[in-house]
Amino acid sequence: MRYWLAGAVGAVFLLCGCTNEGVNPIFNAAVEEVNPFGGDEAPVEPQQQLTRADVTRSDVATIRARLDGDETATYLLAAAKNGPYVTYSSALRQTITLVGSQVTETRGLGYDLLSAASSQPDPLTRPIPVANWPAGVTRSYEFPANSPKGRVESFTCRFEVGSRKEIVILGQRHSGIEVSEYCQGPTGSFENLHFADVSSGRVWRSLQWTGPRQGLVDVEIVLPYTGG
Amino acid sequence: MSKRHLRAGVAVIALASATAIGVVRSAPAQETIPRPSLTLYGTTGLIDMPSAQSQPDGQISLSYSQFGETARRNFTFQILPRLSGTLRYSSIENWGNREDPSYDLYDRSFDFQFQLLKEDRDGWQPAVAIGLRDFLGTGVYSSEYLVATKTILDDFTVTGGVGWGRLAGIGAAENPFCAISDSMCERENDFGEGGQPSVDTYFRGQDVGVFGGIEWRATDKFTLKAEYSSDVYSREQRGENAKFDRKSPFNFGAEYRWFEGVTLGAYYMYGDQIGFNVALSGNPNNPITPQDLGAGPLPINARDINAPQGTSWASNPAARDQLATALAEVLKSEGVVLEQFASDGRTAEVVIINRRFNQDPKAIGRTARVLTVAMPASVETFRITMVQDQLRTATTVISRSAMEEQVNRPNAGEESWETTTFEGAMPSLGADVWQRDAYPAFIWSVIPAPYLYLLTPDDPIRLGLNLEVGGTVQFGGGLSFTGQISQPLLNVPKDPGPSDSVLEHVRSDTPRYYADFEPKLAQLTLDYVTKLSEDIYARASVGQIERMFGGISGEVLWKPVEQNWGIGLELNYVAQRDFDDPFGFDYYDYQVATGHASFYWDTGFYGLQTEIDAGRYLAGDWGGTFRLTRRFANGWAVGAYFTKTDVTAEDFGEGSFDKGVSLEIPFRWTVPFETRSTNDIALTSISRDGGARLAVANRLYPTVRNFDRNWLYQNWGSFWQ
Repeated sequence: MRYWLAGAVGAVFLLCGCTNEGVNPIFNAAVEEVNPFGGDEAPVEPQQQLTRADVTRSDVATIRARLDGDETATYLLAAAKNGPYVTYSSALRQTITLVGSQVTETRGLGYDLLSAASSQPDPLTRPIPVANWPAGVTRSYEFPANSPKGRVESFTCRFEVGSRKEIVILGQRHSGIEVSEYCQGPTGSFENLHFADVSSGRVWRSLQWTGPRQGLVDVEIVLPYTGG
Repeated sequence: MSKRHLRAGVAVIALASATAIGVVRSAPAQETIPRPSLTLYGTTGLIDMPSAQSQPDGQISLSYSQFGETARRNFTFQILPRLSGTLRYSSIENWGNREDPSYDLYDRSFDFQFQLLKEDRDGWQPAVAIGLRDFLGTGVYSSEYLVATKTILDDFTVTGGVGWGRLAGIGAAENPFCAISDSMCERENDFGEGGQPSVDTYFRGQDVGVFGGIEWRATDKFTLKAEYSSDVYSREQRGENAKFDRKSPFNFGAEYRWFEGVTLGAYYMYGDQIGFNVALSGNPNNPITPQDLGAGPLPINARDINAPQGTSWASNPAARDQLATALAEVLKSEGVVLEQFASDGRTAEVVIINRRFNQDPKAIGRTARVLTVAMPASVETFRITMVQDQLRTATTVISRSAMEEQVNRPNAGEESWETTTFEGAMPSLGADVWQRDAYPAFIWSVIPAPYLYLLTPDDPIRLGLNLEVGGTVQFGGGLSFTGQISQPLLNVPKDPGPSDSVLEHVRSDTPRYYADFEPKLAQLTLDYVTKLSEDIYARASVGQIERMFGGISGEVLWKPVEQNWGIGLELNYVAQRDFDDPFGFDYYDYQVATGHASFYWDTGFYGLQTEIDAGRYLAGDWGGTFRLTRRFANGWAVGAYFTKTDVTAEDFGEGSFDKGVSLEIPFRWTVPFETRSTNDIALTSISRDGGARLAVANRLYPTVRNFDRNWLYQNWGSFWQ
């Protein structure tokens, strides 16, 4: 892997040149990756696998997220709260903002979702027993555009209750039911998928669309936010 | 269950877990219309014949095509949704003339096409377009056309049109405009030095030709084409040594979209030749890598309603300096340099340099977010002043309360725009200010600089590479000393000797200044930039100002931040440098006073910006330059200019007057991380001496234009990113 990365870094150097006026951190990281003098550094301890006990002990609201197509998921910890919006941040400061279990913002994942809103009642934003879920909701998404106002895409969505299942999120077993959500709008269509507790309606895991280019993000609620 | 709040500090619990996901499903879908294909002329269309379709707005294509003895290098830009333009540089072997039957023709041509009607894909209405081909050149491809195109069954398009000039080679009918006037039946195709609009030939001629064809998009990647061409290529066959022998009006082709942005085509042309086409396409609006990858912005927490509101910390210099030092550290991690900091406890005033973000509102937003975290609760207003190339530009005034109310909410961009104000930055913050201890600062750079010359006599196309090593010492307060040495690396020309221009050789000897392997002193100047008032900027430079001239240069610019236009005045007294001596001025022994009054206007219409310069040029000629540039919010810019002076077309030489096309590609567009670097490409015509302007590296308007309200509006979407 180092050879192609070295080639890429070389190409970047060739094309953009170099200066002492601040090369960006990702570029620096790439240089570090191929740095032939890096071998003298102390060996790094193998990364410790996060456990349920770790999360419970930290008592910090935590989600686990993964873009559709990515092999690994990343843990994000609650870092900010504004009204119903809770922003979770990863170690690399990529952020996902949730209202309940609804993804309303992403930053740093590739293609930002500026904001999202839905008609109420929306069982993603406030838990509703699955039997009482509305037939559907409307959702609107705001993406970056060349003006203060983002580009807004709106969709009409309908829920379709599926089969009962059990899932495990970081060692904790949840029983619930799968609910598919089919969304259609003037710019296209997509499908979300949720796993909800039947009685409380809390959505523990959800595959949600975050934009035409970024696609789906798989969000698992490891430790829910229960603050005020 | 305990109340779980927010993470404290930046402690990282852990990353990564390759948990298998059992619920993955398909999802995103966005319907798109396939991009129309290109002709061997680089324009939208069939094979040699145009169609009425348009490329997506802003689409840029570079293509090279060849068949027989004809090769074309094309640059096409979809200037506006309905208007496209093409700059073409062609070579035709064995064109022949009286003196030399083997004479090869090198020809530059310009096209425009305007879509009169958009296609109704659900109804019957076809797209209809009108076009001018080679309307400004020497007339080799001079023709006009009216064309219609209709898509059938999504994958199949049918095109038909009528053409004048070269496209009436096979006359199908009498030119209907002959009914208006007999003069409409006459057409002269000899345009001398070229470069003049040949208005008196448009839509003229005895006959009109009829052309048409079909295109079948067999798969997403594979397209088949067939056309009937009304171009008889008579001149290409006339040369004594010409090998092209047109036998049929029919052309056939197959095109393969190798991957997004690269299309390869093979053709059977006029029953005689095999041809090919390679087209590279890109769109400023569609970066080729993810643009939002990396560290996101700092999350914002609203201030506690009971937070202490005391301001005594602001009057304590030690506390202020401690705060400013910490703030500088955090901003540094964002790629933002804190130059100055001041506060009265209610307002935080920061002066920053954006070193990372391609879009300045993103740097403003990131800075404001850091301030929400770092500033005591008493601070309600953030005043963020941007410094660009040592010039204080605009001050953005942000309400902290408004930010706290807007963050995370839908439509936060528009609401933040409404609550944010902009002012011209004051020349200084005053006395009680924390100042970054950084001066004198040394900045160096090593940059490969490819260059492209077109149509230089005896050397029609030259692509070369220089290595440019630069260094600047900033003394603070706007004073700096800059040196730049250019080392020729690849395809280095030999000294071609003096040009045959009858004017002072202020530009026509340009190749001499790039010749041979000796390093060249491209710049060595002492520069001073300052603000005379909130809206007035000033610059003075002395030294070797550019590769060909040294002397003194002064400039003043009036450009209020809230205004979409500005006025500048530049005066220079310079002498022509020796091409073979970095400090010599003897060879040409030529001095000139040159300068311009300039009017700059950002139209706000599709990013179109205009610049009009009037004054005296390097050869002592008087005249004006008009420049029109479309700037995209992400930094792409495509521009064209022309200069008319009192130099006659004969004295000017080939091209008649100076004109050219320029392209700026932000490096950010091609990489998934933030950078402010750009690649500048000038597709200029022959370097001639008329209408030549001094090349000043740090002109004021390019330095400050990204900091007016109009431009910030277009980029404000990045404020929350």
